[in-house]
Amino acid sequence: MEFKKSISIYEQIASSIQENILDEVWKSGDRIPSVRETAGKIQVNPNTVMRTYSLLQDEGIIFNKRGIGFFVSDDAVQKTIEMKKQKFNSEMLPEFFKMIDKLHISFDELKEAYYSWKSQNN
Amino acid sequence: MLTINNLHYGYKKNSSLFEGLEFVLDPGKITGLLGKNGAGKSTLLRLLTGAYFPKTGNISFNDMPTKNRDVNLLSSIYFLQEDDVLPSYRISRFLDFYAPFYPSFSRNDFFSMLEKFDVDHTQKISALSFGQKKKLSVAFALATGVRLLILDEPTNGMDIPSKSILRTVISESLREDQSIVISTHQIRDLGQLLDSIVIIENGKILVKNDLYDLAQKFTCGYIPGRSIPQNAYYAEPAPGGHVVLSENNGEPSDIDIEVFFNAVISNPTILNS
Amino acid sequence: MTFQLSRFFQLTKIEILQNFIKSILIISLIYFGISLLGILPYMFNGHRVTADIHSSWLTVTIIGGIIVGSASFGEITKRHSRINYLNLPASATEKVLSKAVVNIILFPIAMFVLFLVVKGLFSGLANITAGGIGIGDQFELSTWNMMSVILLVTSLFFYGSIRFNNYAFPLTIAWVILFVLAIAAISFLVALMIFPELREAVAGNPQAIESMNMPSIEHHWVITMFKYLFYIAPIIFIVLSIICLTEKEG
Repeated sequence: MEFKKSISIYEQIASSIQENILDEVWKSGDRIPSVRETAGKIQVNPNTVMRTYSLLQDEGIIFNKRGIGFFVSDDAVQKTIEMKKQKFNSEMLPEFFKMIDKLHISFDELKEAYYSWKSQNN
Repeated sequence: MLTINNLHYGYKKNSSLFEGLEFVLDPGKITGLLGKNGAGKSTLLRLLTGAYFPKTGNISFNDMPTKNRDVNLLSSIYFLQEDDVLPSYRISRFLDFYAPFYPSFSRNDFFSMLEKFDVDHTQKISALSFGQKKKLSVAFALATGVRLLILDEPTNGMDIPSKSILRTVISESLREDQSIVISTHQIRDLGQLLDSIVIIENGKILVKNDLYDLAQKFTCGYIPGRSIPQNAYYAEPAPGGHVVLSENNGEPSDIDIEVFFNAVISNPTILNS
Repeated sequence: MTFQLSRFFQLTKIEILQNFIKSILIISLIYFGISLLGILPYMFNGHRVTADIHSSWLTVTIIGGIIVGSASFGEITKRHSRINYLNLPASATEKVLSKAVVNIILFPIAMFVLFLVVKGLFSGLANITAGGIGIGDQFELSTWNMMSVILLVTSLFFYGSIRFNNYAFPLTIAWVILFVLAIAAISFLVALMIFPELREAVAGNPQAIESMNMPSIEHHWVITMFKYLFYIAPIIFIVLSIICLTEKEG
């Protein structure tokens, strides 16, 4: 039997930063809040935030100017989308497929549901 | 850096509370000290600050034995006791009396923390409620800017919004050269602030680990239904199922410190697996 | 031994404002009350009397010294405040000396100032009342000699208050009784060694004592040494207090 792991705090922080980048709250070249600020705001250990920042730095989404802070990379949006897509493909899609298989949902049904959702939300 | 070497201590001649405690605390980290009631958490903290002297062994901070209570050492350590005793006069006078003993004390930090905690700094201390006194003590402790900050049950007596402000205030004030040790029963209040945990039990250190490393090794999760998986190290009942501690394959995960604590206390062997 | 003036002054300031002023005000009120009660009956009886505000001063100062001395280390009576005090960033020397300066030295000075104030006040009062009272200026040599006793007593109870975490006052008294008995025993032995007449008296000839040359005793080196010891004792008690605080645990 498998169980659902809770999403780690690192993932939570990373995805909230990525949301801000995708929603263009922070644009390329913008400085993002310091480790200390973020830690204070979400009330976690600064080292935890630092780890997440390093992770995003390794992915090329943000970069560090020594002594100044972290900034959004030029291709941050593209990289974020890639990263999210990868995660979606590897984690959410299999779950999703499993579900539609189980519930006998056809592609046509799916297509219809998708377009109706899209027309309502745009 | 705080170093504890082969620490032995007991209140009476033949009873011994600690038998050969060893550990090192790195700067820039927040460490949670956990243990059951009577495990000796407060005693250990008093030993760390030099208020108690070890029977044998050595406790030193930056290579100075804490029991010597050297002034330079004392001014780089602040120990906030669980039931701190405060005088009755005005907050301004308290500050005027005791802040000068701490060279790195920041009045700005102190007043801004009091403001965040919603404590009126023009008040007399005797006019404050229990929770407000606690917030005053915590604000003073954090404002000292000492290298080693020891907090014994800092959330005791605080209301829910204050606990949340406390987390913000602590995470904003941690510096790279600073170590913070927090002893607490209410791990849910402050768990997310911790870098590492130390669990003491029966006079020994059961766990001394970085939470990041522990989360690589263990993971917690909820399983619905009545059955508990075979490979679970530990399970405790939760509504409609169980909360389970099991092996992790190195992926980033979150570890529920309370579940981990209960697991280790009930079965210390899981650490060797 | 670490000693820094700024920390010492800070501790002294805390000691004066936190504890000393309160004690001295209470003691002042008591002395003022006693003096007033002593003088009131003579005030309107039409006769000129010389009132005594000086022996009551000695009594109040000695008892006050015992109280102030015993209360010197109020911080150490409870574990939490004791630990706070031990962890306060100042050396044991600075902590003890700041308290000693206030409670042992400043206290008799404040009491002397109080005497002058009460004297001035009552002299003025005496002049405007019908009968009039003379306030004798009895602050003589004997009073100054009593200073050494005041210092000794205060410093002794000062040491007691750091030596004993709880019940400092009764424990110090018990300790003093033992101490005095020991001193008496030692004094007696010393006297036996020095004065052949005393040895003879102990041996069974009481008349021998009468032939002792009393005036010469006062100048004997042992007596002189004891006199000096009275002045040195406060210093010894202060040093003992520093050692005691250094070794004190929470």
